[in-house]
Amino acid sequence: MTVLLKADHVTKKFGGLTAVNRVDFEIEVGMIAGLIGPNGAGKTTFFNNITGLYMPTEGAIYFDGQPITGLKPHVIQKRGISRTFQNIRLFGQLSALENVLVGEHVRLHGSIFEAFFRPRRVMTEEADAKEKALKILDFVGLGRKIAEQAARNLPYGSQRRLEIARALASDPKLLLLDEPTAGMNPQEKKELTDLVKHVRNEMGVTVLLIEHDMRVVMGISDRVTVLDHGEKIAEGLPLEVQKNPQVIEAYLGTGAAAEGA
Amino acid sequence: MSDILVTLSLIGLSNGSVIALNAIALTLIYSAVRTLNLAHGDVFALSSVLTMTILRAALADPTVTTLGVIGWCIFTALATMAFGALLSFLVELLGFRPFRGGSRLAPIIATLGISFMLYQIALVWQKLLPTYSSGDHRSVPGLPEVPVVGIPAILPSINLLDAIGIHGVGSLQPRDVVLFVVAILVGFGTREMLRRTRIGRAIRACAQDPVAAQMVGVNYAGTIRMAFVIGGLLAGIGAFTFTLAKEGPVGAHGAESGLTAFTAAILGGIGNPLGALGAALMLGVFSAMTTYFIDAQWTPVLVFLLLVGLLMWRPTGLTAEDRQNDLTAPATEVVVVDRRSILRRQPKVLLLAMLAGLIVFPALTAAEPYRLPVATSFLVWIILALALTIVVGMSGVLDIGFAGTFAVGAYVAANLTGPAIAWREALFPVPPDAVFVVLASALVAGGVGVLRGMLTSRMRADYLAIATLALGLVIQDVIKYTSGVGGISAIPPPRFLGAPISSQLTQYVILGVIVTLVVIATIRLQHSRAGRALAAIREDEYAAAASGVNVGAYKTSAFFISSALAGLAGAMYASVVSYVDPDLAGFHISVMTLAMATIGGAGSAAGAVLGALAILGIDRIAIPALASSLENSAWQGFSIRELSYLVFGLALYLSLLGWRRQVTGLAGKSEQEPWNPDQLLTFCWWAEAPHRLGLGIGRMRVAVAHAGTRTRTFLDRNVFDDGGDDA
Repeated sequence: MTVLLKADHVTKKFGGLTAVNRVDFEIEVGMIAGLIGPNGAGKTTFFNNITGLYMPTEGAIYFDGQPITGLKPHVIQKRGISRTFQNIRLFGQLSALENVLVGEHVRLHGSIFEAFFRPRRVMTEEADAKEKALKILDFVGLGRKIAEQAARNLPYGSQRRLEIARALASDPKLLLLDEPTAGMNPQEKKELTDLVKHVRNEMGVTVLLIEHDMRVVMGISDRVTVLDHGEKIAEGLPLEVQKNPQVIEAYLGTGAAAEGA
Repeated sequence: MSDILVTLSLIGLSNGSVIALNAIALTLIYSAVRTLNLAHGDVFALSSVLTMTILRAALADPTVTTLGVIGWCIFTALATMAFGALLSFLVELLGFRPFRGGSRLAPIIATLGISFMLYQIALVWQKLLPTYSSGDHRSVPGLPEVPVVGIPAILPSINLLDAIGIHGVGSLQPRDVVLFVVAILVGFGTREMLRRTRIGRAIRACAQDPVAAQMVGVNYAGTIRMAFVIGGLLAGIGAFTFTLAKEGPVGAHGAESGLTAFTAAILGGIGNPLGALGAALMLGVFSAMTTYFIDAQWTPVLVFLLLVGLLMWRPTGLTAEDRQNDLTAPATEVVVVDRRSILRRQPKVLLLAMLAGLIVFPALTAAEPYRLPVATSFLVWIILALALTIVVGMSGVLDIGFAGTFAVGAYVAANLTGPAIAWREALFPVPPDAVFVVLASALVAGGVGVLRGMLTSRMRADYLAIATLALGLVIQDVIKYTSGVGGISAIPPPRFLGAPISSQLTQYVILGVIVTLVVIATIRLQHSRAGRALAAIREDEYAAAASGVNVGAYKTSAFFISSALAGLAGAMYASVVSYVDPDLAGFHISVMTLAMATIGGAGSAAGAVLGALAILGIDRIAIPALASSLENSAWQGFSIRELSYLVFGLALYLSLLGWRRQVTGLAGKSEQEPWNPDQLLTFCWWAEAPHRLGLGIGRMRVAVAHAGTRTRTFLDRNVFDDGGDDA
């Protein structure tokens, strides 16, 4: 299999705090990979390094064989990495449809000056984009009825799905999901897990997800990586990782510490 | 040489003390609410008018003794402090409390509106004061009136340097010493208050982390209120001292002195009164130096550029806490978009209504041809409002110095076509064609806009607003000093294909066509890929970037397009009105345009057009009509023609208040919960007040006991009362 994303000794420091410490990481095309770890393990920081919100202090990141370290977020997204956010970050006042259309931004071509003159090419492209956006809304299970609703008025679960729809709209090669099932009940979690499988199986998008719920991660991941205190402490098949004593210690250890505090 | 340095330092320290009196209170308030209170300068200025009023009335009596003067001074100082505290309390009540937990931009817009209202009150108040007092005129014997300016001198006029035997290095008056001493006292007093008192510790706790402060029992709302009241007390002290020393009130608009003071507050480190004091004194000396060695005119320009530079240096937050929070918090800082209005959903309705209005108007006013130029000038303002809508509404960038680019366009046009401009007559013996003039104005203004965008684009929303305000004043000053305060007049009508367009109807038709095109362009932009990208940036800048939007490029484009449109409006203005002056770049034009762009719900062409018509209708039609109908009544002598500031300020504030639910809803609160519990409590308290007053003593006692318990609880809940001095 070809390697899609490769992180090489990635380190991120904030002042004296090392949030991510020399993490090596690889993900192959077509995988669903899980990234787990206790709170504050550096998972989201690792995501932010990949997507260009942070510049790694050391190390390099390669995507599709090309270095992407230090590129701007919009350039990285254009290369084919989409993401969702732990705390949902939709464009609240825009409609659901418009949110997905913004997701399609990189695939479209109408410039700011063409907006005034509306050449036929741009108009057909816009019509196609709208049709595609509606299809994506269908795909993530939101349906076309909510297309005109303002994103912030949607229920929580729908907002999560809309974020995924927006991320898929750019036809990414890699989708990063940051705790997609946070705050959901078991039924909703199961539905969302199925959606993630669909994304991989039907759209052929490689997925890397951060998740707290062990059952979710173990259920869908082909491979799991465990971070603790910014360091990679384990990696492998879900069942192997589950039995790894270091992983158990990381989880139980922090639990014990929390009780003592 | 060293003598001149000593002289300049003395002048600088005196002026710096005035800045310090403002800056110390500002830094205190900033640290409590984490953003600039634009109305503070006007609280200061209005308080100084009160000082003048009391002292003038008290000292008009020539028999007053020295002891009486001192007594009156003490009374006035206390009254001014109370007044300042009250004003500052109201600023918090109206400008901050309704928008707490919402966008950081809301208080900026609100205090901007309040600042204008306070300024207007100060102007009217001063106008209502008698300008003459009875008594024998000094130089015109027999004239029974004495003109009154400011207040009589209370502090003696002696050169203290001469008195202690140093000659020839300038002058040190008692007033300078008083200003300096009071500034030092206020600086140290505020620091001790913050360090040693219960409320000081609570303010610091809320500044560090509002959530944690509340978790440990600090009454957040009460603490913020107290910070404003203390800031107002300090403003009162400052205003009294200023009036005493300068023998007159603060004349200028407070926002400008507020910006200078804010510069000092940042330089000194936000939340640090002694830092603000030191920085203000340094800034005063620096200003005195630049005034002497460069030119007095350029001093404010340099100070404001320094402010912009400081904000560029810390674009995401002046305090470490702010910078940390901003990394993770969504950067949503938004002006509200109206989704409901039919005009927004059906832009064609707007277009048809507008076209109908444009065509019908000249027919209606055929009998009154003098109304046509007024309508033409309205069209210019509509273009300007639409231009600002692209920045404020569509891109969510609060620009409060927008008039700058408008004035640049107007001046380019005026210079290209105006009479007696040497370089132009050398270059073009005949004024160039209107098309060329308009394009040149739009391009230059667009360039200025891009430059402004580059300077400010990385700043967080409220700093960006402050920076645009400062840059607008810089543009105004630069125009003033390069092109003359008097402006350029008698600009001939535009020439098209060699012939002048002097018919008013033709001008009206041309502008009508242009306005229609601009409306169509704005609507089309809104519904395009680029418009969506701008809206995405407005909603969440980082999420937009993560969706592949090139944030920097789009922001720059938005700045260019809107500034070019503003420049176009400026060029039109110059040729229609045939007169331009530096006030076109003024603060009040910026605020007027901002009120137009926001009152109808920002972000839509319809909102901008309707907003512009509403504001112009009040300011240019309703108020003059009211004024002329009042002319023969008892109100004679009091002109309400000059109430523009009040109109703009009130319109801006009310538009924000009208959209409050959405503004605060954006920070993630649910829309169904417009009141937060604290507001509800306040509301109940006020609603209960008449009831409470109307009942007998027994009820009063209960109320007093209740208030006592509330106070006690407030004090007890403070965990910071162990009295320790922090290391």
